[in-house]
Amino acid sequence: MSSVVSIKNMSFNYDSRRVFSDFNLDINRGDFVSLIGPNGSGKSTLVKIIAGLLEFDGEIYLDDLLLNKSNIKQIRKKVGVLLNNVDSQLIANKVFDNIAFPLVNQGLSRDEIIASVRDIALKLNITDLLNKNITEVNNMEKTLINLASVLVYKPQILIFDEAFENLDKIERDKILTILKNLNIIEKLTIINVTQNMEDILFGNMILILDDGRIIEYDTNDKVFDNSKVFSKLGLDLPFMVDLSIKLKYYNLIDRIIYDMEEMVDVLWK
Amino acid sequence: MEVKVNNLNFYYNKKSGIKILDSINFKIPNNTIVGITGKSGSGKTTLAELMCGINIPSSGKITVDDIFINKKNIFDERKLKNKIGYIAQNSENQIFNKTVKDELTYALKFLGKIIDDAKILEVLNFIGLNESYLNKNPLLLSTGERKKLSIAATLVLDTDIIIFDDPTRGLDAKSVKNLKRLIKNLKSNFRKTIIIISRDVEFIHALSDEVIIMDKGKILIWGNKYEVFKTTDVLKNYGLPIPKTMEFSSIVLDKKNIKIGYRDEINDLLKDIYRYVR
Repeated sequence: MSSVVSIKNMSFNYDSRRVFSDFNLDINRGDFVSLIGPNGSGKSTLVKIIAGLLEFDGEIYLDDLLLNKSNIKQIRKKVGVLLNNVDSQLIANKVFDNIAFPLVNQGLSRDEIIASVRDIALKLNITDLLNKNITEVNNMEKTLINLASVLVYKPQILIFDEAFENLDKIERDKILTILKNLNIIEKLTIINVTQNMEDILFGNMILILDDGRIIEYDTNDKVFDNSKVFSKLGLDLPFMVDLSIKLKYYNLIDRIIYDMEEMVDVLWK
Repeated sequence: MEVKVNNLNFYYNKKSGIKILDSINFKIPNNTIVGITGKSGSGKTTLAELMCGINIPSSGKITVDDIFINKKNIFDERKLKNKIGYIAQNSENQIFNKTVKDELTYALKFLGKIIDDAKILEVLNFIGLNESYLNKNPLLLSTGERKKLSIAATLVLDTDIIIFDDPTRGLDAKSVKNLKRLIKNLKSNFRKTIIIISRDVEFIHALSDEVIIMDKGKILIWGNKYEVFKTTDVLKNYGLPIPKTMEFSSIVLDKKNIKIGYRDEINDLLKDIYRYVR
């Protein structure tokens, strides 16, 4: 199956509120999905359900494995989750231990654990942080350490729930570029819940939720073709998409241009 | 009402020699919006805390209207709190009173001011809440509602100067738009002087008249917003994002030698592009 996440007839209530009713979704392996929508649309709840953190009605298959209580441990190995609060997932004093933690109790030898941690630290360029205390690192470094701690057990699906809110644009672009590379090179499926519309340019699919329902789920280009749905839901568009659509309307360009320098060249040939 | 900062230095611990703020000098003119931005740890919040009297300068002075804040001077805290209001980072998670009404009147009571129910209702409506909220338990409100409440709790003090510290964190697009409208309103209709601390350069750019960029406790560059954000080389070197409308105009100038306008909003930029491409 090319679906790495397959949700069938899913329902979920929170207290007495019905969040999802008969919800269906298939995410293909290797897709980088940006999950957006107004506050209260169910974005965070959906990814928590996929990550096995909430009980639900219906069926969910992760990498062909049916998600239920008996195989929750196996499921958790397939999914890496970074939540909203950068400090909440840091549980040890030393950076090294934070990254190694998920590998403890997996039946690996000490040398194997050290090798895995060193490996992922090299990949993310944080080798020089390994011996530091967690109190000595800044927010960007904490985010990279959290990322390392989920990548270290080689999950197939990565979920980010507004995980980069405390980073500025330049830091976010750095992290998202790393994620984009992981997505392309290692075919990691990524679901990124975000309020920041510039983030969605790093993915290839956009999933728009409102009130527990899918409003749009398609490639970036196709979703931007139907851009009215953004304003209808009170969402912004990425700057270059917004500008392109408006310039297209005045016949000054004929397509969406994502790169600013390219757009300047096209406008003033 | 102006704020002046002269030769301000601040250390938490003089022995460590680590200056959190180093030789800070600037002036905030009356009835303007000044944006303070810079990387994490550059000293922005510490600066705000010193302006509000939460900390005392190690050397140098801050003047808020006619109140002097410096190491040796004992100033009237209540008088200062009547002039400058501070909406802290994460204010929506710092609500400690049992009802919305208590939260709104807490500071007024502390300052010994009269509680005008009509005025409180006015502020509630202004912020986008209403009378039905007065007896609600703040802990049961949504994050957005708590954020509004924390802003209202400062607005009821009717200070001439208001500091917003990191106000857009965690807000969705609609709430950010509402907040922009609110701040613009505070400036034009209520003649307030507003200081916004944020790493969201788009938000700073949309609202500010002047901008101060901080780097490791020092001021990197400050002045008129357009003049500051035009210095793309300095900013890129420092690693600060550049507001997109400014970046676009700068690229047009660099690559095509055409001076289109420097704008705040995409729709104004669009008009310039249309004019100069034809």
